[in-house]
Amino acid sequence: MAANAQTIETVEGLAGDYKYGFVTDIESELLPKGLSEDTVRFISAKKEEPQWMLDWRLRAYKAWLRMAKEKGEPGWAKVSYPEIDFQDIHYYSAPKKKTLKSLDEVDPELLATYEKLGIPLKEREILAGVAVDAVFDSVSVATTFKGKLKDMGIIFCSMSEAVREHPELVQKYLGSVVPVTDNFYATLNSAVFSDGSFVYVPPGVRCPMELSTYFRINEAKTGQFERTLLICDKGAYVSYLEGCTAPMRDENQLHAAVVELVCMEDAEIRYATVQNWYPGDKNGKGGIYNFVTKRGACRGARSKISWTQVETGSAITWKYPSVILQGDDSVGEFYSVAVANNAQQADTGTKMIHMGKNTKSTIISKGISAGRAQNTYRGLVRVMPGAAGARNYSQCDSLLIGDRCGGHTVPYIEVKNRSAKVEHEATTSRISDDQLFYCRQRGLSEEDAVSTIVNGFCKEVLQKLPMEFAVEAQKLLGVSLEGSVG
Amino acid sequence: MSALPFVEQLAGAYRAAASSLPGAKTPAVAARRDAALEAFRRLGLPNHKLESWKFTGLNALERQSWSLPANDGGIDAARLKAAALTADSHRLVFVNGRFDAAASMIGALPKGATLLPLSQAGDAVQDALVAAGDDRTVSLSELNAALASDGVVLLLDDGVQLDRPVEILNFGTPALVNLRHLIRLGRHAQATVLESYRDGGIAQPGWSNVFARVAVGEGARLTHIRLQGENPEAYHAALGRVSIGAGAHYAHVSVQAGAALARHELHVAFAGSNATADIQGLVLARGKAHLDHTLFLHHAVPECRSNQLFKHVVDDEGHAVFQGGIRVAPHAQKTDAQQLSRTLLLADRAQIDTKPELEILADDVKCSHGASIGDVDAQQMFYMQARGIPAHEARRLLLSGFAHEVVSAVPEGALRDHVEGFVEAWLAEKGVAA
Amino acid sequence: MLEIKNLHATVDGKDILRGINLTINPGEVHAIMGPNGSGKSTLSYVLAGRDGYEVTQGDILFNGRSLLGLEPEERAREGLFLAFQYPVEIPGVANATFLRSAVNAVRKHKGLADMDAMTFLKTAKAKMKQLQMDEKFLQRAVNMGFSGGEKKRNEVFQMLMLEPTLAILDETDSGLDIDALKIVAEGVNALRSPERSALVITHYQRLLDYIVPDVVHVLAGGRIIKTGGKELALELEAKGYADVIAADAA
Repeated sequence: MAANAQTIETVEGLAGDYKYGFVTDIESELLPKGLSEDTVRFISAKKEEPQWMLDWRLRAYKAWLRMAKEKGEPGWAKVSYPEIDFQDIHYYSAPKKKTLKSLDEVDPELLATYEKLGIPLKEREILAGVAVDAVFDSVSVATTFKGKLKDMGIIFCSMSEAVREHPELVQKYLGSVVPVTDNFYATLNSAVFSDGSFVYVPPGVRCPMELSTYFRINEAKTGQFERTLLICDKGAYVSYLEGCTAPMRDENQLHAAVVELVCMEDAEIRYATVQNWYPGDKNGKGGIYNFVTKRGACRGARSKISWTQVETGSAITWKYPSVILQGDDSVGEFYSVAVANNAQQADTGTKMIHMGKNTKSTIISKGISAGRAQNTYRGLVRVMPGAAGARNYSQCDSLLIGDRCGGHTVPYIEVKNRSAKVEHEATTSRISDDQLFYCRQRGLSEEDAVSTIVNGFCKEVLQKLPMEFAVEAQKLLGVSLEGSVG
Repeated sequence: MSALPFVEQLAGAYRAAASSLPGAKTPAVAARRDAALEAFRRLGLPNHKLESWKFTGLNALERQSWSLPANDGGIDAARLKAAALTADSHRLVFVNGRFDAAASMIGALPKGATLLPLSQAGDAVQDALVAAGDDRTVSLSELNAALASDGVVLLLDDGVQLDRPVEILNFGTPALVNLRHLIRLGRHAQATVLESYRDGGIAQPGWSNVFARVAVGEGARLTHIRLQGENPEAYHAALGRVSIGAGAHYAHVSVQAGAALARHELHVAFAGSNATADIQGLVLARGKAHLDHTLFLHHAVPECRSNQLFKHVVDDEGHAVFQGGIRVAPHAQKTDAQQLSRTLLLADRAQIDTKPELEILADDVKCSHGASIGDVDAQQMFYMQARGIPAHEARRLLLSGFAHEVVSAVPEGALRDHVEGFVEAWLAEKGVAA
Repeated sequence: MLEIKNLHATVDGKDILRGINLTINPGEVHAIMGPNGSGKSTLSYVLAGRDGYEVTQGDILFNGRSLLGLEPEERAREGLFLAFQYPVEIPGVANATFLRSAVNAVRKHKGLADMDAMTFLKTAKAKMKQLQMDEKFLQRAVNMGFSGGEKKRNEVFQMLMLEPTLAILDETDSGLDIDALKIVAEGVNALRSPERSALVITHYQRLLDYIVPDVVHVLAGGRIIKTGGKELALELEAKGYADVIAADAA
């Protein structure tokens, strides 16, 4: 069909157009390439970390060496890429000016970069009600709203600062959800993590604003090893937003982040991500390797963790935000939109591990494939013998644009309790010529028609995002598939 | 316990039996069997490292000692009779892996029809022993190719239709049994095949290792029923490879109702357009039975339709596994592939692992899968009890209704009655947990 | 308004339209009737510019300008509206969102500013009232789970919102009961004006009792074989198509 062929062409045409492909010229403090025990010691020393932190990192490094020797990178995901040379990566880089007392001291060029990305760093945050802990490359350079949050007892700071200022919390919770030896990339992260965000919300406190962090990868060949730890104490609530765009680079860049969420009795954490890193060009050259471990533990009764993600970027996405439902009556949610266009590969999904009684989980996954992309949903729902009354509902839909892409669904469902109720549904569809023609007959351009249909397909997920993010995400979907027709 | 390692026991069994296996006098067949044994030695038993064996392990086999059974199993005639179809059929009975002519009855066949035990199949033996593939997942079928002592060869020329079902009845004292079937239907041919795997009912380790190659020609129709119910210490591993020609129809119903561990792995590939496959399964697990259905549907060509419905009733410490893969190849447009898996867990220690998988590489397709797991519906139970039906009876009725959807896929008449009897017997055997 | 000249069109290589000539002046309502397979729906798709409907000869002039090089959305923005025989379902997209995008696309083309949300809602609700449609339809996904009649009503609703200069109604009467038919017809009639025209494609005369045409054409074998006044529709209803077709063949 002519329309289809055109659609494919337009989708492909989009790759030339990555809108955030600029490079900021800030002299980085760059550690030479390569990974050894010395690298780990250097990073730890640079951050003036206490001995226990260094020991922790070294333990992780040794475990990683064993894993690299025995099994290497995990091979089960439906993604393919050339073997990564872990000695050919920079493990540390930081903007040179580091001790900033106010925003005025931030490199103007960096601020200009944020400007282009639309990150509200100045007064605009107040209007937007957003506190931003901006991570540029690996080191936090500006944190706002600290005062206000501090008054409420909320700690929102960089991970490095937390290690220094709140060692008792970090020691207690770091690695408690994602153990040091959890998986190849998480272990690597544990050894060399550069920085990230730390949040602690004390009992009964409802964080009054959306906390957000924007990540960027800037320095060429700089591995990004963000580490985020978020603890929501009894009866507390926090909503955390994470958004990313990265400058265009020719060579593949590795990103292996770890995010840990700890949710106590009656607490609630909402964690939303919009990921739009450089996906590579239309032939699959360049782009970010996004190998992320995100996991939350619903430790207390009636606690709730909700992951929402819109994944449009990266050459390869390997990511399974999960929830361990330990507390009775705890709730886990996963709402995901993953777009893969051109040569992108996405293997993403979730794990819901039901341990407590009457635990509930919901999984809504929308995968969109175009060009020659491969998009896989991979998920696990496990109901342990003690999880009486557990409930899960999963809905995984794939939308295909063009006949050269792939949409795959691989759910694992393991149920060991009779009183559990688990339902899973998956469908595959495409944008039909009928739908396109109908929209166009009403005056919509082909691009708008595709964007309208795709947004409709993703609606259940998009409406879970906080308002300002939802708008951004909708735009992003449009941009990612722009020109997929005509 | 034998001191010999597991693989060497099997190699020893092969050497002892080789000269008496079908086709032993044909050098090409003997060479193929030698090669198959070597392949098995190299590959070993499939294990958890293989994605398709993630939920099912065969380690327990290595803890037994195995040898091929003696020819005369000595069978319980009454049990055999009870296991057989009451209606007329072309019946081939295998006892301890050998064709039992006395218990069998092959009726008059139309011209162009060949129906023989493998042990009498002459030239067809070589054809039947062709390897199922060359990856690790075929190691059991290679072992089978080495040790196959018998099986059924059914060949129908173009347009030939059988008026009676072919009944393959496997019976005997539990032992290591390797049967290999070859079923090939020419264009527009039609047949119904019933495979039954039973034993004397004495709890005793046995190992049935079955391989079936099925080719359904253009426009042909094959109805293929499989009943598997062996003693609680038996092992059963079956691999089936089915290819379906253009415009052909393949209907498969598989009922698993016992054994310590049973796995039925079925690969169905469409070889021509406009073909259809309806594949249904019913799993009845109690005690410590581990019952596994693993399916791969390859939509390699455009415009084919497949439908899978699998139902599981799991009681006691039973463990059901359902893996249902659907692959739609690039250019296999207008594919319609549906899959549904439903499970009732009846006891606290019952469990199910399900992995329905879609791999879709064409866009103009209708593909979906669904899986649901739960207990018997409490409202339905209450409704029936409120009408005065005792709980255990209400439960049995609901289970029977649950199973019926699959049973009703069997053609009406004696065949369906037979399958229904098999299912109802299981349900009645021990008042299922209330 | 619309001038169709010796129009030939093929679908999948098959000749469906074999030389159609038709002129619709501003303010006129024309009806096209014909047996199944005569090419009625093909004509509507060719006019709207659907892919796969290839014009092999002839031309279509809309307000003096050829439509042949235009994309479907360009034709729509020029004021050509097709009420689909089988309206398409679009999951997850609210009727209101969809229609507002369409209205604003047309307005932008005319150099008008976007219609703001409040005005849109007010206008939409008024039009829905006119068609006796429940306001809830605005929030439901486009045509999802609508009954046949609801879909047809939704088409007419969209037409009222977009105010086209030429409305093509492709069997809009099918699937409607008599009450719904009247309401839909009233909707169409409400749009009648000296500047607007309509092309009503139908199988039955029934609809034409309510939308009275100025001219009636009989389409058979991809050609217009007879043209007359509104009484031609009654004649066809009484005698069927066979006589007319036979007369043409003779």
